[in-house]
Amino acid sequence: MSDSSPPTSAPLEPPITPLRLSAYTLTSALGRGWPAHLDALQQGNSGLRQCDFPGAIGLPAWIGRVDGLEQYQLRQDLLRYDCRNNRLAAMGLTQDGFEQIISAAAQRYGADRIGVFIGTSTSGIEEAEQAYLEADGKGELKDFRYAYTHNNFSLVDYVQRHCGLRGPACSIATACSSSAKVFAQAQRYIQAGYCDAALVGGVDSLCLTTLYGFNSLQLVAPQPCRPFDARRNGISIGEAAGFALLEKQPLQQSKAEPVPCLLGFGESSDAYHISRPHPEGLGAQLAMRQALHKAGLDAQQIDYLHLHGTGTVANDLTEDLAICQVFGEHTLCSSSKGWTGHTLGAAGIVGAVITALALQHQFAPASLNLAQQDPQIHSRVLAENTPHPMRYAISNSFGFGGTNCSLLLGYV
Amino acid sequence: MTAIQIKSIGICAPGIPDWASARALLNGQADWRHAAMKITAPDILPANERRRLSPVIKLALQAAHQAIGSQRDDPAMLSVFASSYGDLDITHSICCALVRPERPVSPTQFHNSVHNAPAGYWSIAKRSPAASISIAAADFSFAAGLLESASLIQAEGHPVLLVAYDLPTESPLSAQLQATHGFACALLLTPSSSTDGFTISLRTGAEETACNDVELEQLRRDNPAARSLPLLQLLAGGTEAGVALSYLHQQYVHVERNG
Repeated sequence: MSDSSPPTSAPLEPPITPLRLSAYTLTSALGRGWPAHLDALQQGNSGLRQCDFPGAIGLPAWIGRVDGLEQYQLRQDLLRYDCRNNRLAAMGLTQDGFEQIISAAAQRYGADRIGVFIGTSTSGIEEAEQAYLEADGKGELKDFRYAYTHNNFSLVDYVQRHCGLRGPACSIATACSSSAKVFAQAQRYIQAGYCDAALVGGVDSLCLTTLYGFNSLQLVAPQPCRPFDARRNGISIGEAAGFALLEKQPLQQSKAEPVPCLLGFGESSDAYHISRPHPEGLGAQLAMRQALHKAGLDAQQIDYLHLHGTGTVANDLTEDLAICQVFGEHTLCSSSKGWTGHTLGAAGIVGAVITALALQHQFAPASLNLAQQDPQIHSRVLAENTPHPMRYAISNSFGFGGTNCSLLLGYV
Repeated sequence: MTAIQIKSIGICAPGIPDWASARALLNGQADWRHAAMKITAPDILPANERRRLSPVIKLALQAAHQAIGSQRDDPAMLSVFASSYGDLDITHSICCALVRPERPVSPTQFHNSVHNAPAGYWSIAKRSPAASISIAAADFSFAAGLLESASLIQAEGHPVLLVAYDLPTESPLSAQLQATHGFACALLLTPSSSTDGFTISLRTGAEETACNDVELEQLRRDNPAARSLPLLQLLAGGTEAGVALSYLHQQYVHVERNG
């Protein structure tokens, strides 16, 4: 090529090495373990209820609360980590035989060769809230173990100890994209050789900070959230713990049913506003295009989009603009926020697990509480569960700070 | 193993307002004297935005801006923000609001409370659509940030700005922290051929590199972001072949000179 050639687009990079989601689990207001989620989705049962969270009773809001956390006991040797968020993590890890699968993986790879990358936005901040309430403005905070509960890393520290893992680890805290970005991070660490497999996930629990914080921004709906509906008026906050084991080795070809893989991911920044999305969804578009690029796929090949779809006026409008720009108006899509609530730092893993369930069971779940689609929204948002052959799907997660992450899951 | 180059450095710490002063201290050409940190938001954001920033956000942006200076914006430059504590002044304010009957949480404080707030403001200031990640790994947050940056460089082949920062709080939460001083540093890392620059690797079995100077060593142990000081000592002209930074589970992030 001569020096005077016009600039051409960058040469196409080979797609990333796919990672198998060889196991996954999810605990949310829909129940404990992935079968409870599949069942609730198929039966049409939402997990949302009127706000009954202690300290926030009477708040005009609906929440996705996980039952049984108040009585849940951590293992005796890990009691110093006791807080709602780590209880939720422990409850999540013990579903679907997940901890046994991790234990077997640790035997295969070595405990120091499995990375742990977990997203959270508020970790165990509820402990700080309680300590302040008890101190009643008198200064000293009693019975508060910041490093083991509230500090962002305490969650990852807990998960590593619970599972006996000793590999590279960190907590990812990019607000509501946190536990989507963990997949990208795991792919990079494995590619760079810093680990051979990864336990990824997200855990975020209900607390007064987020309930009253989103309320102060006037972003909380007084009834169950209604993503993409003409009358939508805000979010319902939820809590969840979800985890996945990512491995690069191909499954032994057997009669086993195919396993969904991470085929691509895209990450971007809106560079627009700390809490409002870019009005044209430019960052969202960039993240989805990057995910397609890394997977070596065209937009037309995507069968289903699991949307961030929080139910705020601005999110749903701008996400729709981005979808229409990248995919047109015909790709099936839905939001799961009407089922679980917006689980913030866990939203990425909730999206990933629901997308994996959609792929494995070949149906696109309904966008719950969608009665009448906003006429300004042109994407094909599903009001009913829709059986559909699917091979490739994308899950979106966006957050404060203008952070965006799109995961492309599918079959190799 | 990842080969990198370190192109520029920013630092903001008590008695260490910039890289020139840091270099003199780390070379043994000057003695460290404690002086209050001057935290000022760089004028890369409009004045009305700057006023709403917390000291933690200002500190991170100040170090980042020092490292990047007036370089032309690179839309491909990725960023990694690493901090153990996040923004405890904001946590304190929100918790105080939650004690009051009306629970008057400030909307500005709430959206600034996310761990990735400094990253968000940085991308807004630089109009950068590039990916950014904000992480925490307790006292090993700087080493984790370095490993994160290395994996990003290896996967994407683009420059990475690593910003590590931690600021203690004067609120009752301070009793829970080890740090008594604030510290922030920023490194612009770029891909490298293996014949120059540095190699980053994760290994077990090593001895953590300390600071030569007794007082700087105290500072290193005080603040998670100050765990960067041995690497800065190497970059200031140290003659060592490399440094080992403590990471989780008796592992070490090694930074070794190439060639």
